[in-house]
Amino acid sequence: MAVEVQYYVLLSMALFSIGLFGILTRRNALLFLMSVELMLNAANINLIAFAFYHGNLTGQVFALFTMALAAAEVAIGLGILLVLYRNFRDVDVTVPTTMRW
Amino acid sequence: MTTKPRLRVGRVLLPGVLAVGLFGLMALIVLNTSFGGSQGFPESIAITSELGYAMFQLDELQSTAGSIPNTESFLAAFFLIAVVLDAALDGAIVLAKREEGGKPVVALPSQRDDAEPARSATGRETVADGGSDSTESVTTTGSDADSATDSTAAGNGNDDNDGDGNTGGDA
Amino acid sequence: MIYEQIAFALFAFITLASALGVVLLREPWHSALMLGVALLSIAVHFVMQAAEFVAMMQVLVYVGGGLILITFAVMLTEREDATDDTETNADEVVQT
Repeated sequence: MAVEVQYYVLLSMALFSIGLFGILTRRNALLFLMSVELMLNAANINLIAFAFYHGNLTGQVFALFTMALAAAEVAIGLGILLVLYRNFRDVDVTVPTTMRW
Repeated sequence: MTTKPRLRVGRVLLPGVLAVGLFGLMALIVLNTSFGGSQGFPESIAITSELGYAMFQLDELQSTAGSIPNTESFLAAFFLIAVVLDAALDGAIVLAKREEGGKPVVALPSQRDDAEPARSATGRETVADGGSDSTESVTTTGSDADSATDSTAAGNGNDDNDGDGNTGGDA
Repeated sequence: MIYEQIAFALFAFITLASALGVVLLREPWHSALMLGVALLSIAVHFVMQAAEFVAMMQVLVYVGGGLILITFAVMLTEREDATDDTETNADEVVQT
């Protein structure tokens, strides 16, 4: 008997909450990226667990798509991060206030 | 130099309570739901091949064992993801490109550009972000260190141009 | 099997502990290393759910691509005054 699916769901929820906690507390933009990766991985764990639960490969294919999107997100995020560092000499997300009303 | 890993705690009370509360709520929902046993995959299939068949909509090749035929096909989604990855590549290039006076500056220039603007003008225009005065002062002081440090991008070419003007013999 | 549950508990602990390390460690480089540990242990979870191909893609894309990219960003955005944590006190950022 394999591990039941609800433990995987609990694991992914805990991982998602940790990522949310990281986004809420940190002010370094790099940590934002890492926390978003954690949350995307929580979603992936859910997809894979329910693919195994239903005996259906849709979740696995969708997890692959999510990973491709995460790679694109990291590429764009790091581009924005480097522009941020070039303009402000810092990666603190509270420093750029140009677009704040 | 290596530094000892240190924890960063403090000023995390409210987000911590929020995150733990969210986890508690979701865990309460999950633990009150009865899932039953997992169905699992049939033993006779090769999962990687079936993934490929589902991803490229090769329905004739899909296995008929278990509930594998219920797997949807994802050709359109695959194509959309490919387009999104292309867009991400273009966006990363646009973000990484650095312009000085309206002209893009590459990291390793293959030829000298005689019409480069002077250094004092470039320093202002590169860091111009339209911020307030306080951030403006920070960025101008930062731009000096910037042009001093990354010599491959802007420092080399500008120094040569300031030095020998328009000789162009060593290009 | 009881071994699967033991393995699940062990790797769930590793995953959650290293994820907490990501959000709690002070240096961004240490956080990046912890993120690598978390991603690898998530790949182990994928293998346990009969998703070997996704696990391989996880290792290749996340650990081999995303984490290296994050490492580059950590190196490129190193702060000059790395003496103290400027992100624990929120009042200081206004005057920078």
